[in-house]
Amino acid sequence: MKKGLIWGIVILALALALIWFLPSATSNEPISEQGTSENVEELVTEESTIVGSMDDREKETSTVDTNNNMIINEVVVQYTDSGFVPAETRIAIGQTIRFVNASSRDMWPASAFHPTHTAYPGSGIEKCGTSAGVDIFDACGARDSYSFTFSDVGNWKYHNHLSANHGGTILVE
Amino acid sequence: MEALSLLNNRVLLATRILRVGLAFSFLYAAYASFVDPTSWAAFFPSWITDSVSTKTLLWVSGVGELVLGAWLLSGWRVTIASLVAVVGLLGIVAGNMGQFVILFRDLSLAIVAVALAVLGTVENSLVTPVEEE
Repeated sequence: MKKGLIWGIVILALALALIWFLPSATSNEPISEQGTSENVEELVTEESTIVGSMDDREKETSTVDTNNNMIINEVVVQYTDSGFVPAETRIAIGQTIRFVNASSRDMWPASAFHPTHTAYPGSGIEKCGTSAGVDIFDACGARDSYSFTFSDVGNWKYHNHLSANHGGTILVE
Repeated sequence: MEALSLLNNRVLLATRILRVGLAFSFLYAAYASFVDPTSWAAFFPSWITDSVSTKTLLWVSGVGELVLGAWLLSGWRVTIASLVAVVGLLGIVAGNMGQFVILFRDLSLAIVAVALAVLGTVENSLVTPVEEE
């Protein structure tokens, strides 16, 4: 009986250690600040950093308004073998995130939580393949590139449905 | 004496309920992984999926879960079965810290399995009447 208790204490200690180390294990990459046209220059600089290692996609991610100001419409999040980069991205409401697979694995971005994908309003994996699945935060399959426009304010967690441990957060303001 | 007998019966009943409850989680996981393999394959760490196909992994883990569920239900060497469950559950949590928001339940199940491992050390003595000297 004493052995059983010792086992219990040891395993409980392990479990508590897991919780203790959780914050560091789930720590994310630095937040990529993305915003509105008010800080266009900063946005352009950071956007260029993000897409710098890829093809010439800057044209795809920005437009010019009537005052000749560059407005970032689309922010790129890369999926690498170690996860999404950046893991946290801040955008304005109405902006689009484009997830680009730069890894050796398949990528299926989708809203939290695995596997139901219902955290983002209106989303849900059961809608994939239906007419309701057009505007949900769910790639509904492995993709090389997937874009989604966020129309709801909030901190929206997402993950790769094919590798659930890889995830990130989109902060929509 | 009557109180002790009552205690024995309650502990025996509680142990059996724990066994059924824990076994259900493994049996359901096995069933669900066959029904929706894509969702369940996502819980395997990438360093495993890089070297073993997900189909093989799902088959092995599914059969393992079925065996473990049946083992827990059988009542044979419950302590060992429970400790196997503890290792498996903690392994799932440790390998998917990014999904802790849904896997915290596995941590609870692991602690339940610890309790069952402790109770398993006395379950058989509760079932088998103690011989009088």
